[in-house]
Amino acid sequence: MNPSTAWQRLTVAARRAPDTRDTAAPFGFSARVAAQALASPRRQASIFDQFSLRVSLRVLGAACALAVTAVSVSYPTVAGLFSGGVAPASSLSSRLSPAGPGSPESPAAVEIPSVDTPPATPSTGDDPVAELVDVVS
Amino acid sequence: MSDDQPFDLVGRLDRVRGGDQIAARELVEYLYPTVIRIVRSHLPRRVAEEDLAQEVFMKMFTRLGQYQGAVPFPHWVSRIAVTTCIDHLRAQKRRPEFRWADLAEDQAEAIDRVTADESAVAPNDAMAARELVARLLDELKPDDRLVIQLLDLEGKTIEEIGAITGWSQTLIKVRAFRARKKLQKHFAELKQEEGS
Repeated sequence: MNPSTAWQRLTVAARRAPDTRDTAAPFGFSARVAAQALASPRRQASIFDQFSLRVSLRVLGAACALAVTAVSVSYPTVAGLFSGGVAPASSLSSRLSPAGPGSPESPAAVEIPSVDTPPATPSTGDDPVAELVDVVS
Repeated sequence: MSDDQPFDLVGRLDRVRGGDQIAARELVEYLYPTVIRIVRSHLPRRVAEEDLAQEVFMKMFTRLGQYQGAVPFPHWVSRIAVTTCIDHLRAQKRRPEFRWADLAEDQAEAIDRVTADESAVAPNDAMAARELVARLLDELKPDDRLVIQLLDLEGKTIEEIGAITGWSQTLIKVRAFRARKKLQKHFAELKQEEGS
């Protein structure tokens, strides 16, 4: 037999099968569902909610733009951190340091040695002015 | 709620929006037959029909603010019921594999009679056919199953199915064509299995 004919007869026969199951709501079902549905307040977006949502999105966008600007402006400083030289936060942290700027305790004053930078000439004396004259000459 | 008076759906909806619990109960009782028929037709395995019906009604109450009246309210609820059932069917990772040997002997004989001659179908044969069709439909994808269920078993028109599902007429026709091909192929394989 042609399968399409067989399938057609099968569905026609299946359609004739009576569905004797009750379609009325079970006892207590409607009360339970109604109570549960109305107990949880339906959250409808009010005008204030919509306004605050729009404002929030704009504020988020502005914050992102500000963050990108800040990174782009301070890029040389950030790049200097990885290429060697004085740590970028030296000025601020040295000011904040209780030991004061330039003190050996201040971590920001520590010079970061670079691979390309030649090692510093060892000082021969205690007088810094004499050392500077030596370097210049 | 009196059976003599027509159900005032618009009035009930207004009262439900105002938080009237009695109106909400009456609305559930009025719509329950519609919802439970859809749920029973597309019930996934291991899911209780009452739980699924409750989920449909909870969605209905939650989305009541979105109902604009463009379609009749029962149609709108039917669409919620259909999409809820499809979501559950899609969540089923595996569809059962049906074999001819799964049928009882009298069921197999009844199906043989039905497919041989449709003129006089006994009630028991019709029940057997219904069960076989349900098992075959279980093997289809949820969307295909829905189309065949509505089109071939419930006798709905393409337009009605479009109203329930929101699918275009072309999509419904294509899905119905493909689903019927799959079913016919599988049914032919089952018959071969029976013969061997």
